Amino acid sequence: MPLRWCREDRRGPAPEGRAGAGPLSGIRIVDLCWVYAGPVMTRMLADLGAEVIKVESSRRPDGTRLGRRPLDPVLPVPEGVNVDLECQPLNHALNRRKRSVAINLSAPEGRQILLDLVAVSDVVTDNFAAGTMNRMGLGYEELRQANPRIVAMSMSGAGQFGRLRDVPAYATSLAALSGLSSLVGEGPSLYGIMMPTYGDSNAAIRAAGSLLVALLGAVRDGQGQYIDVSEWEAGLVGLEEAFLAAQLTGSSPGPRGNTSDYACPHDNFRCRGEDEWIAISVLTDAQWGALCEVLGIAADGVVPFPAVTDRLRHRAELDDLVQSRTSARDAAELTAVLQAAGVPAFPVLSVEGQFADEHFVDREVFVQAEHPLVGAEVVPGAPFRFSTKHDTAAPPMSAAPLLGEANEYVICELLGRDRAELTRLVADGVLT
Amino acid sequence: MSWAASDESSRGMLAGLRVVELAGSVSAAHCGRLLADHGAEVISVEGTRPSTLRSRGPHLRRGPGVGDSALHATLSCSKQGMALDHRTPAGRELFRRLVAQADVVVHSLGPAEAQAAGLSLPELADDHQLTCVAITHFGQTGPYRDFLGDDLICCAAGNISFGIGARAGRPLKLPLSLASYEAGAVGFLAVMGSAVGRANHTLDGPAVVDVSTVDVLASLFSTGITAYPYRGVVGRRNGNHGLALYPDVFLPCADGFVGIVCNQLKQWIRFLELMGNPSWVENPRYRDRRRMTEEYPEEVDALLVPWLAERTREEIFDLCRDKDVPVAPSYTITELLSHPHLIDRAAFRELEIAEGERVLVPGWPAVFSSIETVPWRRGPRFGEHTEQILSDLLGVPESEQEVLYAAQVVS
Repeated sequence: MPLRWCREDRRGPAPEGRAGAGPLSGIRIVDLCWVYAGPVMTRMLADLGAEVIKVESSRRPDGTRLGRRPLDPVLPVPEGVNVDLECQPLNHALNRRKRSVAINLSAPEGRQILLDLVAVSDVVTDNFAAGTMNRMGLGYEELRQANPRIVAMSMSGAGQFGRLRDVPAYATSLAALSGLSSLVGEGPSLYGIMMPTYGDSNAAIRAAGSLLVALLGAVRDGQGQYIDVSEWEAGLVGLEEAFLAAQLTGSSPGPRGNTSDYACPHDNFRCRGEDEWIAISVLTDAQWGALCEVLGIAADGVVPFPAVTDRLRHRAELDDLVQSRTSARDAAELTAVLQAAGVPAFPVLSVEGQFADEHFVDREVFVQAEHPLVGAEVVPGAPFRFSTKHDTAAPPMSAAPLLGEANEYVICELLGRDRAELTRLVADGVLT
Repeated sequence: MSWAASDESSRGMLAGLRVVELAGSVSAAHCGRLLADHGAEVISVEGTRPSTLRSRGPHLRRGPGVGDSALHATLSCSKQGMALDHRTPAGRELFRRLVAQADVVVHSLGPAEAQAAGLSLPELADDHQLTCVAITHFGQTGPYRDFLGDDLICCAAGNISFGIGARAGRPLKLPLSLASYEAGAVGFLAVMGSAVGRANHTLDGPAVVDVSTVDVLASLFSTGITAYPYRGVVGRRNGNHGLALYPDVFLPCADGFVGIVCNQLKQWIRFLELMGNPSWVENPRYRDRRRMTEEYPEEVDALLVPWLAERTREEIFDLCRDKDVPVAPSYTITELLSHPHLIDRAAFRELEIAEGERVLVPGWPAVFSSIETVPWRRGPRFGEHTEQILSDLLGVPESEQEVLYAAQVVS
């Protein structure tokens, strides 16, 4: 069928993307993002096939390049490479499948190179503090003059305007500001903090989606766009349910632990071994019957509290009962038995447990990349699997780039300048 | 048809994009809602009995009864509603005709069910420009593809629960249905990627996207992957203490709680200055951030709490912002609904969840320079658009419709 929404007549000529290299092949992103949330966002766009060129500089390196050197190079170090900026696993994880150009943006010539690169690109992204791009002379007006079809996204803690626009975004402060902290805990205990990086990754997912909405307008209609993303507001979206409850009941919800209004038992239960637990989620009365049978709870074939309403009323008692039957069991073995009996269950995995579990390799949640200095290493895969009739439509995996590894590609290939010019720009400290 | 693919007045970047959403899961519903927010025409297909989501809380003030779920009203806003049992032969045939008219299908079926519904790659016609997104707990492949699950199970498998809760205490899932919301948002991202690819001629023919909630959590939210191969297990839950060097902590104050995080030593020193440099700051024990983090965080907490207890969240927030120390107040859900900064940015929008009943719901978390916000429409009652879709979209004659209703293929 025709793509009605595509407005066939307004589609331009096909770009030079390679079929089967991901739906965004042919899209070029000039990526000024650094540290965490921004790089997670552009990593997902790279997973969809976009060419992501990370713009950085040894004068002001991405914070994730810094710190004590945790990995040692096992391969020869090319001349001019500063090993101390190249061996951080977090940096490798956040930036795999990207390229890197090292430009000194405080030099006027460096700024001009960036604008020239923008002219041959589709997207510019940054996650600096609000207003920084304007101060660098790289505001949307300047970018638009370089390329009227450019989609520019700024992602910041609280957005580019509003009275708290200067609030910095760290995981802990974002969780507190967005109301998430008020929900993290159990019973009377409010912990407020989670080890998983919720705020950054959630903002990254929602920013990437917003960027593609705008990019559709640019590709289809030639419409440029500026997008102002607030990580704080991104953190509100998933709390929709809590905002409804607050307005409809008149009071703010608090922490609920693992409890559910509809399922019981519904908790993590201790198993054999140190800090080993199994998640068991009884969603139906039939599943409760099956759980009782597996755990030997149905003495004489009589299932206690067969109705969920009764179970919810006796939650603490039932949790103790189930706990008493799981504590001597192996979490993985019990999971297999329960799933076979139709009861939702799974061990509470540590990262060690995940590395030992074939699911995560089989599904390419963890993949290998060949880093030019540290060799083979594990990095996170794409959060989706995209297949077409041709192939799996995933671009080849590549390791995180060495700082400035794409200088020649950008200057000579994309901007069409000669090698003598490249040498001069390095000598003049413009490419550094 | 009354909603309008070709209507000139239709608005939003996705106007004309037709999406069939097989209803039932929060993740698929959230994905569909994000598409509808940008003007896609989303047809939510329920079975011939109302989805269980229709009875989930929070409930409308007027409840109770079928259709009293405020959550469902919010997740389904701006969508069309059709009740069709795609598991019956006649229903399957209608469903296939519906899919043939669609650009995108979003569902939460496992691999066997997806194949039966004609939604896996081999079953899709070669020339059909359809993007089919499955959002399931464990994905369409791998050893656990047929495992049962929910948010609790996914947070366990995704190395999320391991990092939330008291030290050595019970692991906790993400609050609410956050795991499902994240998976839904990743589904939306994949659909948008396919839309750009089709408009740009870099995607042709059917595309199938497999989103697993466990994989989304493990690859994007878990903190262990990068550190494990060289540092061993990290990210074990630690109560009110976070992953970064001390202070990365959540503590009580006069009127609630604050989150304190100092990425740099100089920020911690400035925080101590704010406290008036109490006598203990001279002790090197309270300058060694690694030892404070690993050996005695509670001891340092106890030194901060009396100072915090004498001040409100806003007082602490103002003092710290002035000195560029990243401390933030912990807001309650109710407080956020009227927060001045969020009002400045129109972060909440009003939604009619039932006749005469309006609530504030978080809006799109980004401001676009020239993409208009599409007005929200009240979500469909059960089967509200079944007849219209049968007549207008599928061209089923009235006499056949009667048969379908009588046989409970549609409702």
